[in-house]
Amino acid sequence: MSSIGIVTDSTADIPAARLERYGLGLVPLIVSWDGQTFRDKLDLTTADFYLRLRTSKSLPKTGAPSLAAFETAFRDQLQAHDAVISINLASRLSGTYAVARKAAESVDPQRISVVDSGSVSVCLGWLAEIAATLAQQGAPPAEIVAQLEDARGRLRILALVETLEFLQRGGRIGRAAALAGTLLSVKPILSVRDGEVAPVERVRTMNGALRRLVELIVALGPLERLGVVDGDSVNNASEVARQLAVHYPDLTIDRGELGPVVGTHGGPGVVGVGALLAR
Amino acid sequence: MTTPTAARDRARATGADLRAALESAAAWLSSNAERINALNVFPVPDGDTGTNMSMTLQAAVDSLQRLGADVPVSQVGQTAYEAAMLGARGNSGVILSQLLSGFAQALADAAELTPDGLANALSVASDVAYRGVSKPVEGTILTVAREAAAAAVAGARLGREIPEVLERALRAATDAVAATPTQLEVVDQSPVNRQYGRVLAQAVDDEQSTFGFCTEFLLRDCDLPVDEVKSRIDALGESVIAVGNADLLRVHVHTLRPGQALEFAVVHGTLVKVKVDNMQLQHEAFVAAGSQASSSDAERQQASSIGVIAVAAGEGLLKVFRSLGARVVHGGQTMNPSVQEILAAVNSSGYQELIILPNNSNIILTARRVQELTPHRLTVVPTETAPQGIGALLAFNFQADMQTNVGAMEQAARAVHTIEVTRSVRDADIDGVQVQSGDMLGIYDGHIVGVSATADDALLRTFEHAPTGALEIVTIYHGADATEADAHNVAHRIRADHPGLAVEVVAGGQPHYQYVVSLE
Repeated sequence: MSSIGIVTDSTADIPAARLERYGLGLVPLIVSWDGQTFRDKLDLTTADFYLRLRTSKSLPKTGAPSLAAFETAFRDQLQAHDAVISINLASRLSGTYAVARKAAESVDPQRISVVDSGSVSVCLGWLAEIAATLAQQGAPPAEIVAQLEDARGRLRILALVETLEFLQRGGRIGRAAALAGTLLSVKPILSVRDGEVAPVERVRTMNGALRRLVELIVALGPLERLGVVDGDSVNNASEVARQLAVHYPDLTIDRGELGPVVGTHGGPGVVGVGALLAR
Repeated sequence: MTTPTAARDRARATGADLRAALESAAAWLSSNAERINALNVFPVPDGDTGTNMSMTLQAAVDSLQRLGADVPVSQVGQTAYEAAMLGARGNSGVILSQLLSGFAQALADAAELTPDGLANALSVASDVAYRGVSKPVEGTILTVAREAAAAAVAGARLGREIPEVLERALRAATDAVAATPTQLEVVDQSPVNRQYGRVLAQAVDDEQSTFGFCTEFLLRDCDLPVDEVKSRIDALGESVIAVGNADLLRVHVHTLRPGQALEFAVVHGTLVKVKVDNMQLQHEAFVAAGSQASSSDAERQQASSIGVIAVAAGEGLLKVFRSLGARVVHGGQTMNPSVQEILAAVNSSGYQELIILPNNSNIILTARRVQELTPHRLTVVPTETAPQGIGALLAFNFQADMQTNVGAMEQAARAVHTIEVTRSVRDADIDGVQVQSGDMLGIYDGHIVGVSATADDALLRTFEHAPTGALEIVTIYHGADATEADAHNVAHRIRADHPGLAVEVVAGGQPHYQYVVSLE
């Protein structure tokens, strides 16, 4: 039985304990801010990031990991494993997946598979965990990739943002631009699916928006996994998690905080809910 | 050439007579429009019944200009009806166009009008008008129309000639008006109803009108004989042509329901080369209501397959609706938008599926008429105020289908409460409140709940009717006759009395209403 190493990137939000358990490799994306360069979650902590974001005049920029970073990660994995599967941030949202593929080709295309998650954050994390679990059970790379592609189609993200400004400036707003420019103050709710950001609804008040977020998730039907993450908005996230727990008493609701790279594009005040639909 | 002279032939009326009658009725309505506006029992400044009816009838009469002098009554009526249908404004305008519709339907084949024909036409007019209103209320123009028709029929049976048949109809109309309770606003149009007998119009029935869509298609391998195709299409419209053979058939029809013709075709053969043209668009210069071409609109259009059209008055309110992604139709200063103006917005929207928010109880019927005139899939969410419309628009889900969205938007509209503040234009005793001309009225969800000396005071006192425990946000839209500073003052006072309640001030710019307030 061959062993398979699983690699993902820093935009995956995975509880620290599970990160350890599965021995997942995490390749960091880059944040550059006021002339400085940081590795996502390593050189710049999430807490420091949001503190600085609220007060800084300038906005950070994000970048994919370098080719060298992925090549190093893949070579390291191949020292301990026979094969590697890399699951990455949605190709429509970042060049990370493209870099990973290049790195796979240059290091060992026969033994390295690269999968586009079409997603981010907790959802990306779940795919990495599913891969790691299947690897531990002895599944071959081809089967793991097939399972990941199936799960990928069942991922949903709904997010409430405080402002669309960061998405606009970072260029990731997509069709959710339809939610912008309202003369009344509203809280936009948007979706992320297959790497596409799309508008869902607008709600007038924060409490109303949190309630609506819960209603929209519940409307998805039975779920296999559920997670609530936030960008410097833990109280609102906890409220959403509390309301969701009432509807999904048998599910563990994963919690997490959006790191600097995702935070650069979502801005402060984001509450995101990730779901994996039951088959 | 015929000349319209009552004495010349009292047993026949020509197309020219009919046209003259319509013209004089329109002239009368025009000079009395203000007086009729003032008859509105609800003493608010935008009671525009007279203006609406006048403009509707004027549209009908204007369309007659292009007819020659020697036309049959059927064509005069048909032309007048088509124009009235498009030019209809407000509930009263729509009902007037429905009366004309029925009238024309009855006289579809007539060159001239006989006493019997006239009486029958009045009856059919009344029937069609009743059918056009989902909840007909007695004691309104509908009752008057019915009783006038009954009297005309009685007169014709007795062998009376046209002028006397008309007189009988007029008397019955006047009596009907006198007998009805005065709190029904439409009833007070008694002078208009007296003129009703003078309004003789004809139009072709909806199903047979040459107005509509010029629909043409080629049909290959048709499984029905040509004659049968012709008679089946005949049932759908006018000016039917069906030529060719089973291998290749060319079909042409003028119909209000092009979809039905095409559905018939696909069942019986292979559709090739379809062409559907809006014939009314081909005839008239179109005024697109509110052109808003911009790149952000292009983005919004891609974001959903469903468009929203909102009617609003006031520069600020129009901007609010636009900023929320709706195409707007101007509500008008003293009149309501016509069927045509809303139709123009629908046709130029770039969407196939649309939701209409009338935002005024007097525009709901007009919006529903638009539904019947276009192949677009339209649903009217019957909002009665701008706050309801905004609430509905905020409930729009970009990823849901039409049915889901309509349900959510209707529910959201119902959950919004509206306060309106305006100056009373006359004395009235209404909703249990004594009103004097010049008083500031406080209106809560359409009911006058009190009077005050100032607009600010009216707003604050009306606010006491609100279920403040259940509210999360109050939005004060200040109108053209109120200042931003005053609005902020009132907002401040409400916040002071209700800590924890969000209160926002937005420039609405609406005419007549100093404040329009949304309570959510």
